[in-house]
Amino acid sequence: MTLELRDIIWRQGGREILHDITLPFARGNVTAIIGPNGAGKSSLLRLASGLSTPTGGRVMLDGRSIATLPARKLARHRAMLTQESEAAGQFLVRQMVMMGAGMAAHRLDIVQQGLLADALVRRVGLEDFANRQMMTLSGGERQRAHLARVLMQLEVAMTDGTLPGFLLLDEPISAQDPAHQALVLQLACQHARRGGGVAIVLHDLNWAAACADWLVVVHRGTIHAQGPPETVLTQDLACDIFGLRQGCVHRHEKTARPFILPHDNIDEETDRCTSP
Amino acid sequence: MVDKPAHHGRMEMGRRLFACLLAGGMLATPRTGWGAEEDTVTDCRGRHVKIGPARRIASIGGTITETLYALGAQDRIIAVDITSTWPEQALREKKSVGYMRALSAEGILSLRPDLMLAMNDCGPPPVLDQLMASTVPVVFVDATPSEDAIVARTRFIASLLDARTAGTRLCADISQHFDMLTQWRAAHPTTKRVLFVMRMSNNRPMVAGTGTAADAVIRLAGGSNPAAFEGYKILDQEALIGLQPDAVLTMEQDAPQVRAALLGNAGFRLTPAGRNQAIIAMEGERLLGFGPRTPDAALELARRLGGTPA
Amino acid sequence: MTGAMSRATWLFALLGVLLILTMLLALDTGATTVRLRDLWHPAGAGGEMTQLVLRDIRGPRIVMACLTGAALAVAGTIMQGLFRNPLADPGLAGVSSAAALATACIIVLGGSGAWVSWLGRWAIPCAGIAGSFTGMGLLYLFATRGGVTSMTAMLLAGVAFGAFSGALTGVLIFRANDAALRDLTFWTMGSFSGATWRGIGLLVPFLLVAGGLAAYLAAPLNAMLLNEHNAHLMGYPVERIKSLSMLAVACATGPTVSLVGAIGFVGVVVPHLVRLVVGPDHRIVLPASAMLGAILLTGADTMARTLASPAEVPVGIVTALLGTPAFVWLLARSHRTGIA
Repeated sequence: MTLELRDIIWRQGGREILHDITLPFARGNVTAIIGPNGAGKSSLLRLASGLSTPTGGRVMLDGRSIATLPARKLARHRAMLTQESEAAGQFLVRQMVMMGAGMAAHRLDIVQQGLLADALVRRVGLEDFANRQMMTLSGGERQRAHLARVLMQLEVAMTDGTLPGFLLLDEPISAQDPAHQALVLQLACQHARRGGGVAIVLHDLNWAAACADWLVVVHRGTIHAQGPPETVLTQDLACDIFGLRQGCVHRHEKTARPFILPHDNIDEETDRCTSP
Repeated sequence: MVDKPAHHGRMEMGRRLFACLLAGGMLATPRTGWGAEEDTVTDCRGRHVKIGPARRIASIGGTITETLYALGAQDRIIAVDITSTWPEQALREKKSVGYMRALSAEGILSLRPDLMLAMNDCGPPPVLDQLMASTVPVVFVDATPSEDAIVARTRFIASLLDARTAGTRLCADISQHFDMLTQWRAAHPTTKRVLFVMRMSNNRPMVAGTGTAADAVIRLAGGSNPAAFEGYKILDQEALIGLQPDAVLTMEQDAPQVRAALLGNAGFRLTPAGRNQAIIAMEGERLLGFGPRTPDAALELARRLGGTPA
Repeated sequence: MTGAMSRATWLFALLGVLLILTMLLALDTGATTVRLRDLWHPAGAGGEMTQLVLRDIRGPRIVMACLTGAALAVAGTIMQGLFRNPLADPGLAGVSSAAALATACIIVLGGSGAWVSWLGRWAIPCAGIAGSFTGMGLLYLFATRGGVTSMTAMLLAGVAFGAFSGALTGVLIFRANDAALRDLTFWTMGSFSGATWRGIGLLVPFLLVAGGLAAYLAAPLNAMLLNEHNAHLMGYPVERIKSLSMLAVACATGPTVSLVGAIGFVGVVVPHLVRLVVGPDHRIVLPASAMLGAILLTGADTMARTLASPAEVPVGIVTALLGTPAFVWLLARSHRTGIA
């Protein structure tokens, strides 16, 4: 099954935010979506999830428009980590993760749900926080707790044989320290290796280049380029789209993936590209 | 309203006497003799109620309390409701069962009354059902605000208490006051237009129309009520001027506010009542309760309308 | 079992015991000297009195108080979950004010019209029920565009509707004569003295609907706490949850308020107290609130009918007197600990 955006146009408040978006999310792949601020990355992901309805074009899940699918059914095939996750106040971490089972909770008995939730809490590195109230956690810890919940949603769906679904992550590492950034992205990659589809909106170009099988660059509401990171993340792209300096794109010796060092020396007035 | 000439007055008297006898006769239901321990009476709802010596009476309704005191039966009362404002010692001396339309069944039962005498419009209905289902005799008294009803009520209550003598005396007293009233009205025919103001709301008077106790007492005193609508209504200035009242009647407890508000009302000043500052204040329950004091109150009102100090 | 769940079990056991004790105590207490043990040792001529007091006077009152307490507490819990605001009160849904307006109409404008006299003393509750559902329906229609209900719009409209109903009720008050005025005043303070088995029979179907809906809504309301988007992503039918929630609130509050009058604080304070002990999980909070509401209101009614014996204090006054300090304490506490 594929999740794909076809000829998507999206207008909000009189402005055209996205146009000419045709983008399939392949299973088994990690698709990273990058672009400058305001390019429309988050909007694109929201449209793919069904949270927003496109003005034109369709979002297809296995050939069927998701607008025709009831929320319950859709939830078995895709789960999304949004940027604005409420604190969920007084819920315990473990309780909140278990809520991820949603309307499919009746498939598993309470003990199995508990075991699954515990496992996921461990996987996101929150085993010491399992019985703490959500509001006592830091922003990064809360973000990971919500990630565990989102993973729980897909895991519960898989217990009856459903294929691994699509994991949609909107800026999942924005509040994480470097070690946990790696942890979160590893989890995303693991999901792809199991056969699920993963789409991540990222600001950090290096992490995007490191974990993506497919890189999509969104610029001014449309897809500027897409492909494997090596071919997409070129010096020209870095200059034209991101306004970075010449000579900032390097190649990792071992993995052959591109990485970017935006500055050598903060204070120096270096040779800047023309503005994007 | 048309004034009654003298011979009409005599007919009035006869009519009233007839009413007395009729009331007494209607209530002369099977008795086992004078001073019987148990009687069956028929109340205003047509219920047949067995009552005993009535030594522990729960009196629900200001008029009933007033009548009981006037009959000299106050020692037989154990509890009154809060509308029993006359005589003043009633609420002080007796237990209070609260507002007559918000009674408590268990509360009344806890007093172990041997008779509950209640005005017909008390409530709430489920509580009354519970009380009627209990062993306490419950007798409802008709609440019609009319002259004949006053006499009938007094007679009825007296008969319940086996207080014939006192009852007859009280009835005669009432009749006498009615006679004085009739004579006065005959001697002082008047066409005074009287408006009853219950209270002020937002500086506008709430006025009694037809079908109210106030309307009845105004007509009893010989005046006429220019307010032709039914029930209570708030009048604006123009309406007030249109009605051209010669006098305004209000209750003593609200008199200062009403007086101040009316006299400050420009519309009111364009009426005869306003020009003469004719605002009459009288005690509320006495005036509107249609109890033993009402004929006397009506007479006082008639006198004050006629310009004579009461 | 996790800490939260075993705590919940303890809480339910405790509440269950308290409820039974409260009901027995209420049955045993009253203005008369009738005691519960009189059922077994009827004192001769007093036997009839015992029957009357226990079966027809105290009995229906206690059951009505339990049902009302449970209904108001559940409605309050749903409102607070739906609006994600711990100050939300069933009255905000416009249900109480609409019921009050309909009741005021009947009390003041009186018994003109054939249907009113046919309904007799049931005219007021029936009008109240009709009024409350109409009010809720209007609010819902106003706040729903293109199949999406905006809770913010509903809240604001509810406040406006409440003010408007209040104004209309005020007009009726101006027109009222003294008797009607007193009746209306007593109605707004709430009382169980008019409780009858038939009245309870009228109430029960509505409460069954409300209870059934509440059971269905417990898990979805948890998800709604995470915000509507996430609930939708998790697969919950968000719009349907909102409409069913409003229906549950209307069923729980409308008929109750119509029969008993306006009783405040139970809907706001009880869910708070419960959450203090067991946290926000609606699957626990809803039934626990129902039980605690029943206990508190039955206790309040017992006080109401014995404090000023042989008269009776309207139970709404007792809940206000007890509820206000409790409410202030809750606010102060949550301000300190940073919730709300």
